Amino acid sequence: MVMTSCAHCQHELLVESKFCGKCGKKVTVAKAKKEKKSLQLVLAFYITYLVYAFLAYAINSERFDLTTEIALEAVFILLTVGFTFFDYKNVVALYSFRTLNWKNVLVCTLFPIFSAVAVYYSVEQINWNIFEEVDNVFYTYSEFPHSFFWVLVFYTVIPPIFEELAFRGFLFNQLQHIANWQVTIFATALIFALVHFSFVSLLWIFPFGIVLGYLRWRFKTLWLGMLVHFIHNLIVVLLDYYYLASFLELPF
Amino acid sequence: MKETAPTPESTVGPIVGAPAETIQCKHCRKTVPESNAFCEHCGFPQQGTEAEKAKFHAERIISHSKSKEAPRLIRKARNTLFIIAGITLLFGAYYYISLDDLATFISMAILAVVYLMLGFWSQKKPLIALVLGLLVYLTTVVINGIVAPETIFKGIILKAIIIVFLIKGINSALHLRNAN
Repeated sequence: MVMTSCAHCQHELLVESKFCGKCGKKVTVAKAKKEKKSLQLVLAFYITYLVYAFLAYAINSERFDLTTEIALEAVFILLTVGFTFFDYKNVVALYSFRTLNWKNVLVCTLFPIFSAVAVYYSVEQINWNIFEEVDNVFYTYSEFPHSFFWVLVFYTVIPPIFEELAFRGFLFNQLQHIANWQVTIFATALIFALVHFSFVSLLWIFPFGIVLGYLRWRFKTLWLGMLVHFIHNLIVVLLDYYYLASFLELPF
Repeated sequence: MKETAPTPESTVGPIVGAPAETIQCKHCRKTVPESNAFCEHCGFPQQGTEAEKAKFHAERIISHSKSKEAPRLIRKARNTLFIIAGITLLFGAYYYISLDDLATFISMAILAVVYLMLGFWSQKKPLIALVLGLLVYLTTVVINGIVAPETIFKGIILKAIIIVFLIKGINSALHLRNAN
């Protein structure tokens, strides 16, 4: 006879028991509760983010300056870090270097170089063909003092650190309670694409999210995703700067 | 040892390692140790009061009817996703035909495909597909609110109905996962 014990009262149980003989609690109830809590956390996180995004747009349309931007980024960081406290231990475990080796680090350095260049030029084509405009991050921030520095902070430092924490850390962990790993990678990639608020960009952010999710699952660490995300965003920003500089005939 | 009354064999005296005396559960007819307060198979409170037994039966009926109703509510939520896909595509077509707005049409078409795929996927994985459907829908509401703030209260009843249908489907999918 294989024995186990009740999660509620520690009474000894046969593994095939569906209910505890002593306290009457359903044996699967602990799992059901965990699933419900994870689901609620996922929804709460996403709705909080939506409210934040809505307010951020509203505030930006009223006033757009460096102080406001820094304050809004700080709120995003606080929200993300705040939610990870619901799952502190499992998130911290993801900052492990154990699975890193020269091979996966090399691949994660080279892959974003290709992905960034491919995405950059196809996005530019699509923006030009569909929206009839060219987007450049430096246009948005050109009014700011030290705009190059702040673009680097807002595009290449904060997103790799905190988006990885939010989507591949917190959300990934919660969704794994209610889905298998393939579905979890798919779901986090879709949510990651959704928060970029552009349905056309689903076409490239979604596959990018799949790659990041796969790295998170395969190597159980956030570092590789952060590396890919950082290099990808850095190259996009540098290409934007290159075109802006050659357009304005600036030295670079 | 299926008898409920003590048998001569069981009164012979304590034998080390022998199973405890068993009785038959009054609810599911399976054999359970007599000392148990609850049946290990169905959760029936065999030593409980009449009120506790009545509560057990009531809870089983509620859970059973929830399980019976769940596939219908999941189907409703799935149909909701298909309907939103249709509405989204119609909006896109309207923008393209009457306003010559190709960008909006392409965005709406991609969005409609996402809803359709989630709808079909909800036949295999109802919980996660409906959750993602709800998140996509909430995102569109917020994007519309950002682009045109005056639309946020427009059609609020329809929006509420869509959200309620999706949430009911999600709850039912969660219930079915843990029933049985």
